[in-house]
Amino acid sequence: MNGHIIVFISVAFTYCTTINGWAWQCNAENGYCTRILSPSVDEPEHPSLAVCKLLCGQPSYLNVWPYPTGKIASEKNLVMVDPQHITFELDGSTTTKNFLQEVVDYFQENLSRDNSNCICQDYYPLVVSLDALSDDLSLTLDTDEFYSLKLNTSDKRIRVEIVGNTIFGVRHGIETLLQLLVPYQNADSACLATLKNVQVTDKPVYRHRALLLDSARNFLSVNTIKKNINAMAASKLNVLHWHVTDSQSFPLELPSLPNMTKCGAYDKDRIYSPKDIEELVTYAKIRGVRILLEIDGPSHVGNGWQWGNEAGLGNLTVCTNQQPWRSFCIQPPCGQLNPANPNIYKVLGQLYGDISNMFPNIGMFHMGGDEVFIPCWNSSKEILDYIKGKPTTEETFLDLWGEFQNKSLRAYDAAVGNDKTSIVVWTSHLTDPNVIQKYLPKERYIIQTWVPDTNQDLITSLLNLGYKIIISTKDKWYLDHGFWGSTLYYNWRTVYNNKMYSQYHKSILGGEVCMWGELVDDSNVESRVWPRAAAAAERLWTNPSTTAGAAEGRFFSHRERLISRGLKTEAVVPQWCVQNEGECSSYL
Amino acid sequence: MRYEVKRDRILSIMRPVALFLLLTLFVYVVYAADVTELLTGSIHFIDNQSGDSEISSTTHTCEDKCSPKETDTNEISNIISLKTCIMLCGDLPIWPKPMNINVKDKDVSTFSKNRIGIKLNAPVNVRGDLKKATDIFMKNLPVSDEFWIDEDDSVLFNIYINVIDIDNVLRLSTNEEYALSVKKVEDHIDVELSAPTYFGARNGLETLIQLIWSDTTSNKLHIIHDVEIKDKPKFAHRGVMVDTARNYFYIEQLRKVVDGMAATKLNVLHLHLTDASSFPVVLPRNTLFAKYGAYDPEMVYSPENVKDLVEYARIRGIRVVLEIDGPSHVPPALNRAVEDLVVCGEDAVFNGHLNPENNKTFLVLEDIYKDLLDLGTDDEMFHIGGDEVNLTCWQQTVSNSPKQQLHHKAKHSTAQANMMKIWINFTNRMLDTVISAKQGDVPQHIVIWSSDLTDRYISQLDYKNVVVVQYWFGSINPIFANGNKVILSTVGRWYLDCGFGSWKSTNSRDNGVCDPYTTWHTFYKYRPWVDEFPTHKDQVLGGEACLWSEEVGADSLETRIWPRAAALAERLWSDPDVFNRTDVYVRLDIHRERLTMRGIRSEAIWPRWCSQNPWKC
Repeated sequence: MNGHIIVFISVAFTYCTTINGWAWQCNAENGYCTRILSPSVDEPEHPSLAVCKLLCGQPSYLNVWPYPTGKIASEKNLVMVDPQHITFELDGSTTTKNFLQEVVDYFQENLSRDNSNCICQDYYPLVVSLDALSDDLSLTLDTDEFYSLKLNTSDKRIRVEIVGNTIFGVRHGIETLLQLLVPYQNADSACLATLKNVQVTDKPVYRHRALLLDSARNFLSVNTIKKNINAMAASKLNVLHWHVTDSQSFPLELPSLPNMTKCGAYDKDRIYSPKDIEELVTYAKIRGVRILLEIDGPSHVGNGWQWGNEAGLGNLTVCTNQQPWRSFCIQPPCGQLNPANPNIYKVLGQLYGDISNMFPNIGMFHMGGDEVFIPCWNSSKEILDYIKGKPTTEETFLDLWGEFQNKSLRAYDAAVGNDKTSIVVWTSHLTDPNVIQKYLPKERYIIQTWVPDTNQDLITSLLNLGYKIIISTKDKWYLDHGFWGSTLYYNWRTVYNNKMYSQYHKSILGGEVCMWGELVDDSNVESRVWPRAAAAAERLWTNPSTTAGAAEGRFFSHRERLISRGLKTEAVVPQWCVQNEGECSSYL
Repeated sequence: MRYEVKRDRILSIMRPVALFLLLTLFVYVVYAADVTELLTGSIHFIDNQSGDSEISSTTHTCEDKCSPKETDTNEISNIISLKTCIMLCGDLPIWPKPMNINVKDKDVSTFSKNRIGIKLNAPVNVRGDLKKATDIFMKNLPVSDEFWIDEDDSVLFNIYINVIDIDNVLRLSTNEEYALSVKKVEDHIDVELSAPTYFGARNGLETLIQLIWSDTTSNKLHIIHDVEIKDKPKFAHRGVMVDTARNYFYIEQLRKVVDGMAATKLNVLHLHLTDASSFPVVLPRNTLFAKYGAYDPEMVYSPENVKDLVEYARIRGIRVVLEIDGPSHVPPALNRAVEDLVVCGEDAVFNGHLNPENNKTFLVLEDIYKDLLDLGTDDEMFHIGGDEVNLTCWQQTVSNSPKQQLHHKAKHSTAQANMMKIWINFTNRMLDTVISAKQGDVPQHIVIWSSDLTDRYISQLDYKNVVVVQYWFGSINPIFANGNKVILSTVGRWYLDCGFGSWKSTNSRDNGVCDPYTTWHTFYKYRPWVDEFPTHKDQVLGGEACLWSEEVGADSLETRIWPRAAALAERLWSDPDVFNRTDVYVRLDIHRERLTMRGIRSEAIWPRWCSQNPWKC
């Protein structure tokens, strides 16, 4: 060792941890960790909860979130790692290696570190070998996320081999490794500890594991979005569904349609520039997250679209900002696209073109399609003239909506130059099983359901008709609920316990927790989303047959992990319950 | 109406700048008798930069309710910013709404931060406090410090502050009123702020700063004049309670709570310092309590921390009530320091109770109370907790207790009555203990939480004129009937923690104990002294918004409190008769932005579009 003198200095000037007599004890029977004051002589004691949680439990159990779905084996003895002595061996093509290097940087950024001058003594060097079997760098719904991780200690060396079918699988393996490295401090040394031997194979149950963020009701800064993506990566969520526009604002800057932000952004600081988008897309991809952009329409539009007349294109929208709003929409400000104006499809074509340039092809695009308010269209002379001759019945307006959807799809395909993109829409009158086939071919459309319960006839009917669906159970996974109207807040247990309708049904692509933005902005969005989104992450990755109670201690650990990575999270129990595992659920 | 902008009336004076603290004799002008709000006015000056954060050239007029409106003019002077429009078009967006506002004219002048002169006329010992308060005022002005120096083309801004009273300790009885006048005199702005006490003057400064705004890209400050405000709170006790025991908050975070309260004229920070789950306060006479009771050796409040916080709060017009709860809500960990002090907590930590049979119990309590009295400065009010005693605990542990089953609500259960006696006696001894801790001096107010005891046996408590009930649940009429004063913290109305589901159940369907979430509307609309017990209004000292912290941690402390505690603040300060929805929304949103600018995270109350289109949502 060449650090002998440095060690001496460090001992002379600083204690690496507060010596306070507290320790954590593992109860071998139930795998619970509890804080104790005077450790008994018989039982092994641990300097921190994280160390105890790493060691406690069966060899087939790991304190990892979300819980792996494949084989787990481990030897529950600690080995020490020095953060300065972790090296990586990268395999594959140059582009693969470049990507893996970015993931390694992510690993280094998120590795727990001691901030003092303490150094690690008596460590084993750690070598991590990363191997992606495929050189395919695209991240889509079909990306294989499987990985295997083998950690082996022998001859005073620790070797980790992470193999994935894709780089994104390898990334998940890196994430799991991060979770297996926890700070270990004593009086004169600050190391990371891990287990002596570990074997994991793992892959998700669902391919689409998403968080929806709404940056239109209230703007979210690029930094806030990044922090959410970072937490998604830590929880192996893989889709950021970005509801970027709505009737309130249009913050997405489009190079060929500068008027959209000029008329629609809240102010010049509340805009996502193409550079911001590029940065976010890359940031997300390194973290295994693809961005599913939603430009909602024909409803939920308004601000941003007011420039049509001035540009000689006519009214792009109707009812925009109209008052009294209750007559024209369900939430102010009002607005719907004007399907009577053929120019709308030219503008949409430009919009789609810009978006396909800014966002890489992930094979999916979200067109919204929810909550069309017929009285709005019904109030527009232009639209009534357009449908002249037809009765102003719901069917007529549904046909009009279907026509709009069809023309939008054609505009989209023309803009991207193929007809391969899956279009996602929310459930609506148009997706009613009785009419959906008339308007939305199942080969092109994925339906995002937001009905109250997973076990709903609508879902069954859509599946029977052959549609692929994404589930966003409104009364379990709507993170905005509980703060308006008669809605209730869903705590992490409810979010966790939202068992998927049928895990074997191939047509269920996955699910999303939705953070609608009326009452959240940079001030509170992180703690509103987290740690609850992590509960959904395990439901979607692992889909365990057990409920939240069985995951409690591991979930609390994951919350601490998110905090240590700089995320703002909500507390879910008094800290006493974290320090005395299992003792709060049994009381009363 | 439209505002006529007259550039020829731009006020510009070229004078050297001086910020001075001179003792000036100054007599305050009598208030205008006619208190009405004028709805017309004119803008005398618009800054010569674009002054707008909006992207296109938009202007705002009263007739469009300050919604952004495209303008074809290139005349910057014809553009009226959103903030300016809001200041001119509705009620003045002051929070909490003052008791009396007399807007004599709605003119706007601009000035620079470096042209503010402050003159103090106050007793010597108060002057130091006033200096601190004006420093805070200067720091909170809505303009960044980097633009401190700029061209001297704006008006001189004189603030004359007059305080009479020599006393600078904040008590329930402190007179917090103030009179503020802002007017243009020739070529400068004169602000006259008079108050009987330092705390009244501080309130006046918070109002004054709310009459000042800046247009985003400009470093110029704007003020509306001529305005006269005569203001005082309706209730003397206007608080926020924070539970530091279920989850711990660092002292810096508590200071930020104080900052938000100061901006909102709330005047009591009640710290529920300890509970069954932790004991984070280091008490000099019993340091082991924190050693064994804190979550972590770093998660403690040292005596210096508490004293600093108390002084930090005093300067901001806030007194700190330090509560160590008992006989229930006591951590069993204290037994490591004092043997057999706590019973029932070993198996179920949240059931820890002080042991009524240990003769050390009251000696320990006296030491605790002495420490708290040393740490605080408020010698008029003392909180002893007293909520949620579980008599079954004492029944099982106290020798000679009746062993029949306790029927919680049974009126004629002898066992119940006997156990109640133990509780009543215990509480009376706690009251005696406070007095012995004060060397026989009976404090003006000793506060206990409402409970079964106050529901039915309050008449059996000693010191009737002293006992104040902090009412959260139960029967309030017996308390009134007994003549006690109350502090209102009604659950479902003024609880900040409700609505996040049950934290301890493994059954996720279980609601939390007080779901659903209480919105700011509910906080605002609660005025039981009008709607429920008008005849007992005089027994209401005020109220507190309570934040129990089972499901709130450091990251959400601020957003959980704000802006809802501000809704309570206005209810307790001026208690407006009507809930004028659109006015309240707009003013509260502006106050939210004010808090945000001061670095206090505050929850959104609507989409930002509604902030930019006031009175349209």
